[in-house]
Amino acid sequence: MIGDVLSYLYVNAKIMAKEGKFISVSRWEDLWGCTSPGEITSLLEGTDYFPYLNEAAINDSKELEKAVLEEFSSLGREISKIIPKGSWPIKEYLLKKWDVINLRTVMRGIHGDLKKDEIVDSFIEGGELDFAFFKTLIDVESMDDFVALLAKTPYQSLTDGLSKYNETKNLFFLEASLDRIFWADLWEKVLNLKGIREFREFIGVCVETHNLKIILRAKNDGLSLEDINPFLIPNCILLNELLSAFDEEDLSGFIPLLEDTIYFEPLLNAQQEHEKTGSILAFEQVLDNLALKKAEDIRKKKPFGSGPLIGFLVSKEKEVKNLLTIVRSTEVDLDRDLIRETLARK
Amino acid sequence: MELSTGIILAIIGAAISMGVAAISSGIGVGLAGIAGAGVISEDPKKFGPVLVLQALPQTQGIYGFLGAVLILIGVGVLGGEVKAIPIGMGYAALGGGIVIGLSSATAIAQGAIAASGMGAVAKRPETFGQAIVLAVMAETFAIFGLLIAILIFVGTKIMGG
Repeated sequence: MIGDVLSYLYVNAKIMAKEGKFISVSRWEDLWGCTSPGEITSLLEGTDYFPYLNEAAINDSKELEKAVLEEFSSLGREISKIIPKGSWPIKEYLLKKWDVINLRTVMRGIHGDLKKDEIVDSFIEGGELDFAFFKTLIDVESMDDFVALLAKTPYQSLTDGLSKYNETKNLFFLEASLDRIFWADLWEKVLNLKGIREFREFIGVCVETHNLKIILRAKNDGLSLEDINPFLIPNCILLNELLSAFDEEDLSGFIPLLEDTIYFEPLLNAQQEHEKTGSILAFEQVLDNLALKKAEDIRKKKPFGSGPLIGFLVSKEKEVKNLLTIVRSTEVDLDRDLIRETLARK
Repeated sequence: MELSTGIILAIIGAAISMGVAAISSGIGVGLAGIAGAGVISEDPKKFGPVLVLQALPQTQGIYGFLGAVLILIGVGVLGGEVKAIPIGMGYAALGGGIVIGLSSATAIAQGAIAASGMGAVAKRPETFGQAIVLAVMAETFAIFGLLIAILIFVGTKIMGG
């Protein structure tokens, strides 16, 4: 206990100081009203994002978006250097995330037949894989070649989703496979490690929400259990019960199975919107919120140790996502109130 | 010079008063210092509030020093001739020293509170006053300890005898 408090003393003080520089409520009010990257850039003065903003970001939302992500990635690297040694899975979580983001960029580039320059421009440095390696990935001719190049990396099991992708040309299978590799690897590591209970609890919720998203999407899109099985993460409490009822229940019948879990009420509330739109986005949003809520709960429950760090990382991710939503909304002429409503829901 | 048992006990009391207080304050200041370094690395402008919060656990060290000096003056080791005090008075001095030493352990908790307070101040500068109040709470018991020790010293004529 004392050791835990001591080892996180420096980290927690530093991240609380960083929280002091989060975008304030009044500045969010102003940001919601922004209609151009230039306006957003000027409002970011004094925040941690500002040093990453260059001339190009003032006029180009893509550049602005990249600057925001670069700040986030740099923060991850900075924190990963000061995390106590015993908490190395948190370091992996912080770094590997950027490998996944870059790999996703390559996959979307190949799938959407984007120009190589466009793909390279979207890369964000900061992962565990050599950054130069990503540049070699863009020279491939097909998704098969891309997956083949990952043979000696932790992402080699992306082949699980490749056959389904080739069959359907639906990128969901590859993306779900990539997410599965990230979360399953992390889950396996934290399950067998003592002393990082709070992080294990948090990853546990992330893993369950990953599985739930896959199952709900499968139900929504009429996929079979066989189709989604390679993308589900095992050793998860909820999974067995849900899978045993997979063939019997439709999407609405699935949610009552989650009664007595933290997922039941939010999913039930989102069901109405799903019925209106037919999109599972409503479910995905509430599931993402649950991970955020879990991080906040952990932070309150464990004010010393790794609790504040987990809370901070998730809050920062929320800030970045909201900021990116505003930046992207400048590309298309969206209703400001709608953006605000979307962000509030997030 | 041969020292009486009473004097030796009083000197041990003074040593405990200062020694334990020094260790406790050192740990407390250390905890606050680690957190302070974290805050300053991010925001050097917060050095002022951080310094104030880091200084709080030092006071127990001062109480320990004060207790030790009072004992040493009381038995004549400092500022006069060494008195041949009775063994009972030696025990009283030892007891006073132990009270101050043990109650100074609050500096460790105070250091942890100050460390958290620094984080709070870094996040919301307006909480500086509250952070100080929270940290000072731990001080109360060190003051009680010092007070009891002084009462022992006065009651047993180590002070003012």
